[in-house]
Amino acid sequence: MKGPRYGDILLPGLGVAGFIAAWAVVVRLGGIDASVLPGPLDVLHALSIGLSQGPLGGDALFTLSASLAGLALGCSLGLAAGVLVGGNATAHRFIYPVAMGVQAMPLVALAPLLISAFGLGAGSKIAMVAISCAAPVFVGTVTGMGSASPELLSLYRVCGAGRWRTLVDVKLPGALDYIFAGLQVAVALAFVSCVVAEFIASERGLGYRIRSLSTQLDMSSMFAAIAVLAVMGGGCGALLRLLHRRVVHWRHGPR
Amino acid sequence: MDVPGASDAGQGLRLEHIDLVYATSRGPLEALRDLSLSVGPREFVSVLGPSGCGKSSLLQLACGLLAPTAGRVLLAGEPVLRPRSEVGIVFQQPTLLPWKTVLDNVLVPIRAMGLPVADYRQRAEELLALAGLAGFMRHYPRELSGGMQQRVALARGLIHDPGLLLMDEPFSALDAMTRESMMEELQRIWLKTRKAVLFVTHSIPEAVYLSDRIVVMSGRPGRVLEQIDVDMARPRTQDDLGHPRFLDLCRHLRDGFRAAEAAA
Amino acid sequence: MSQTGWRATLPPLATTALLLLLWSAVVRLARLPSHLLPPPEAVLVRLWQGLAVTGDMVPHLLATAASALMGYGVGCLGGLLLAILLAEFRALERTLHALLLALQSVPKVALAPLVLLWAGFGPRSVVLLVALICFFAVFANAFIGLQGVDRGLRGLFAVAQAGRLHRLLHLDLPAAAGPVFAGLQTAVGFALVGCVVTEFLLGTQGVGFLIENSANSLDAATAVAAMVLLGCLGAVFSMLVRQARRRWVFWDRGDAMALPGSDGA
Repeated sequence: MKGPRYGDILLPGLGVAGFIAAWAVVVRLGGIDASVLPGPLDVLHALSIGLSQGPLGGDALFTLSASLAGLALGCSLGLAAGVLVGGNATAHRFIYPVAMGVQAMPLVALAPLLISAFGLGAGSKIAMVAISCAAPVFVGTVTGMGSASPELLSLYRVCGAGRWRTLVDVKLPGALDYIFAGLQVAVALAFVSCVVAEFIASERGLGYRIRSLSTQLDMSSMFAAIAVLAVMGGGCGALLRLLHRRVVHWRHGPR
Repeated sequence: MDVPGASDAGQGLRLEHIDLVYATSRGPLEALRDLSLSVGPREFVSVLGPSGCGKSSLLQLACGLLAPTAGRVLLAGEPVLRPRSEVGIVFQQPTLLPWKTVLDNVLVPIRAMGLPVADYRQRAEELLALAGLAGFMRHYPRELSGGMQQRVALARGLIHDPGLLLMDEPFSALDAMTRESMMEELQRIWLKTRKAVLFVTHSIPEAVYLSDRIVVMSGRPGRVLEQIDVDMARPRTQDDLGHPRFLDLCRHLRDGFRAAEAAA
Repeated sequence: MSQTGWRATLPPLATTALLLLLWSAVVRLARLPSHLLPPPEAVLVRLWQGLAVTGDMVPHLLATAASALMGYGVGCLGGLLLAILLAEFRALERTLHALLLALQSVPKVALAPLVLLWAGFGPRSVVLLVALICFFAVFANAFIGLQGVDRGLRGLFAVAQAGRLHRLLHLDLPAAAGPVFAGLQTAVGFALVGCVVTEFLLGTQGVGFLIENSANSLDAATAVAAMVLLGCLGAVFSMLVRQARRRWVFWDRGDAMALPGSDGA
């Protein structure tokens, strides 16, 4: 396999570098005030201070743990429900369309209600994340389980295999690709939901921090916080993609 | 290598006066009408017919996945009332489990039947060696060509030593050259294991090359139009593809189909 | 055997009815305080009140609908245009690739406070955030769709010496229509999310404001009623997009699934 051509590295590198340079120049030369648009160095400075002395680290940790906890909860629920419904044609007819409808709704709209129910702490954030994540994982699981090849299922029937055996041997492994797709959506939604809940009412967290910084007009720190959020979300997404490739190795392995 | 335990006694298949009618949203669909055929315990029988004539339904009846509307299906003298594991199946697509190795794929029916896998491991290895895949046991299906995957599917069909092997157009998804070599492979493996085989195809040369007897089916509703014995010596070779008797049989079948098409 | 046509809507309707009954029963039996979870009847009453009797919910609904539509229109168009541009000029795409990837990792909703600061505390910010979200959602899908145009067909057009615009209009865009509409479909959901979240922070008008305000005042009936409105808005919007797809992508009956990684939120 050829090594990366220089066009693949040089051009994107140029793009990023060019962007940052242009940013710095516009801020400096346009005389733009730091409270409107901070320069890249200001943001970097705010980032290092926020992480070392400031609350940014604690906020990031809060958001990360709340999101992950909610993810774990929501995904297990979605997976369990998906396995139950996916294996049963009747349940599928009754439940699947409703779940698809639910998934289409902006579930973050529930955030204010959840907060008035569960309070300011992590509980409401975890609940919000769990609710948002369950639907895509459920849909992915059900779709995946329905994707089993009918010939394989016939083979198992002829061999007299029971429901459980067919589920574990054929339907579940075949569903893994779809489940991971659902998980990918869920991860993105998790951070969004957590941040939104923190916007509305919280004592800590990146969402809370971003909002409070905006009232203080501290743009550099705000950008820094947003950057941390982006890295967190992107990092988790990338990790998930890695896991996906390792587990569903037969789709992505060498040919 | 003679596979141990290849039993003889009445393992044949008999379909007696089968009617098969499907209920569809547009009314009843007659798939098969008064169809009777049999496969002896060591016979290789091909079913030849146009698309949609119900060939695949035949196979589903034979293994018990479908119940006939009328008539009965007998396997080794006993009526087939529910899915029976004494049959091996090979589909058009290999349909291997992509997350299992080649060896584990051959053992899939064993797992599905709840039998101890360890007991059959050696047999799986022998079957794969017989199919010429000895060096690929730890590989994954995606690393194999279509023909090789189909050979794995064949080994899988034989793992539990079934009395009857059902094959549903197993080579139609392969390219022409692979088809020819697979034909020879199948003959070679069959001669070693000597099962009853019901082989569905719509390739005339394939049917003549491989079979002891050819059952010609009509279009829907499927009936048996004629049965032809292929009286050529075994093992048949590439040279036989040009043999006058071979060409005769092919011509006869082709003419029959053309006539049936014109009449339809 | 799967049911088709209108018969297929019966089971989910039954499930929904069952869930509503359950909801009502739970509230009644557990004697839940009405500020926590109101019974469905209370919600219906409030909806009727808000829409027909006093009509106090109507201006909020209209405000959200307008902002969502405008932001959606602008954002989707922008995303499509950028996708076309980058699909045409590969060098440009490679330069901007890393940048766009980084921007995609930012959950756009997190930018709501920023947008409010920049564009002011008014409906303009709502439109802006929605536009941002839709932009990325459509861009990702459109770009992949445009890249996936059959090479053979491209060759055909090249041999016929077709102009760039001609090829775009007669080959690339129709060929990518499937993925583009998948992006348009998911953008509907994201648009409403963006609307609602910005309105949470805006605190003056819109369905989001309604939800947040009423939840704060422990008026759960209004909050849930507003959420129902939101759901209806989304359903109508979604249906419109589906209809448009059916008309303009008439050759492809498939249910295009939005590609992973295309969420701009």
